[in-house]
Amino acid sequence: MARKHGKDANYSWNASALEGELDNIRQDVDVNEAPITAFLDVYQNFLAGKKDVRTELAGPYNAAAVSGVSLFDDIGTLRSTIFSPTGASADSNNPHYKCTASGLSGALVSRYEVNLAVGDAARYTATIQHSGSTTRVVS
Amino acid sequence: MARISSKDADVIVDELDFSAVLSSVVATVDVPMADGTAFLDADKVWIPGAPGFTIDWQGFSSTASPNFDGDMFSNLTTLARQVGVYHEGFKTVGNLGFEGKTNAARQGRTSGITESVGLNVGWTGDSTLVRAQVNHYVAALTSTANSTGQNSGTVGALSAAQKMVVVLRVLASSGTGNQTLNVVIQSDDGSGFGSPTTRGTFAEKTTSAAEEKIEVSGAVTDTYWRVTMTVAGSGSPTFEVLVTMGRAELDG
Repeated sequence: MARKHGKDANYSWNASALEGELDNIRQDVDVNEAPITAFLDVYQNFLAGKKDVRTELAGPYNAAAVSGVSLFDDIGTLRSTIFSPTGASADSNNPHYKCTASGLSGALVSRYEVNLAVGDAARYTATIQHSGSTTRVVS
Repeated sequence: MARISSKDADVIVDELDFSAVLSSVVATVDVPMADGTAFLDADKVWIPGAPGFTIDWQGFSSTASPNFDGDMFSNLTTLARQVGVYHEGFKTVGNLGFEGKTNAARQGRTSGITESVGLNVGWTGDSTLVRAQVNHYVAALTSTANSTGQNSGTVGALSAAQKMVVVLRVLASSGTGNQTLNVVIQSDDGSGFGSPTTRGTFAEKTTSAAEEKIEVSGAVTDTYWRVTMTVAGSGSPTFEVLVTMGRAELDG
């Protein structure tokens, strides 16, 4: 069973590479579960709702590059993103996760935070809310 | 790719520099998302609302040089204070940061057996959070001068949906008591400012430290921006001056 290291992950925002300003990427998919448990059920039962994808980004802040300029200026604007957990070209062992801006679909910055501490490097975090579909690409 | 330490960050509110007593600053923008999902959608659809921002300071209580505690307590209900955060400091032209009008939302004073007295302040944004850069800083301005024209970073031409936010801070003023400083915002299509256009005029500054913001609405096709600073007064009029500029979306 192949296990992959995350050290070479890639992430692009609006076709601009962001991995030079990232050291952690987390992409969560939530599916709201509708409870349908009846008295006769031994265990709880649920029906799956619609998929909801969010990506959490964190890394060293660069005020003059993508993290400092594009992510901030794109607040409120739908953009396309590609997340490659291993950084390798897309194939069955290295899927990419794409959210493409079109109509109501795309990725939105829902939270943007710059953190300055006297004993640390300048850092930022951003929460990217996906609207519409996120596709898993293996080629 | 530049990675920088935060150790030299400068943090200022109005004309008061509190960098000497702060150890952490967090600027956060939150965008409320409205659920726009319809039955036919395979995935959830979200529609962004208007963003809001907060700026949180952590620091050390001080009652003199600067009077951090006194100023924060006496201005608990003061609205629309201009906060500036410059992660590499504001004493170098071109350094980048953020500017925003804020209201003091919360203050916390802490004492611990093994800790210095702490003072933490939370600001809630009352305006647009603007990406800004230092256009001019001088520790001792004694005669009339112009800042160097800028046309990059957060400064440049404006579309009809944009504005240039220019903040003037007089951090110190000294002289015989009749010193004056007049600052004018100019733009031009060339770096030589051969035919500058006046875009805004700040109120005359005199013997007190002061802060003032001017917003210039687009459209402006000129790409270069600067300020002219006219010093007058007898004796040795001297001003410590900071000017920052940043382009932002126009309200409405």
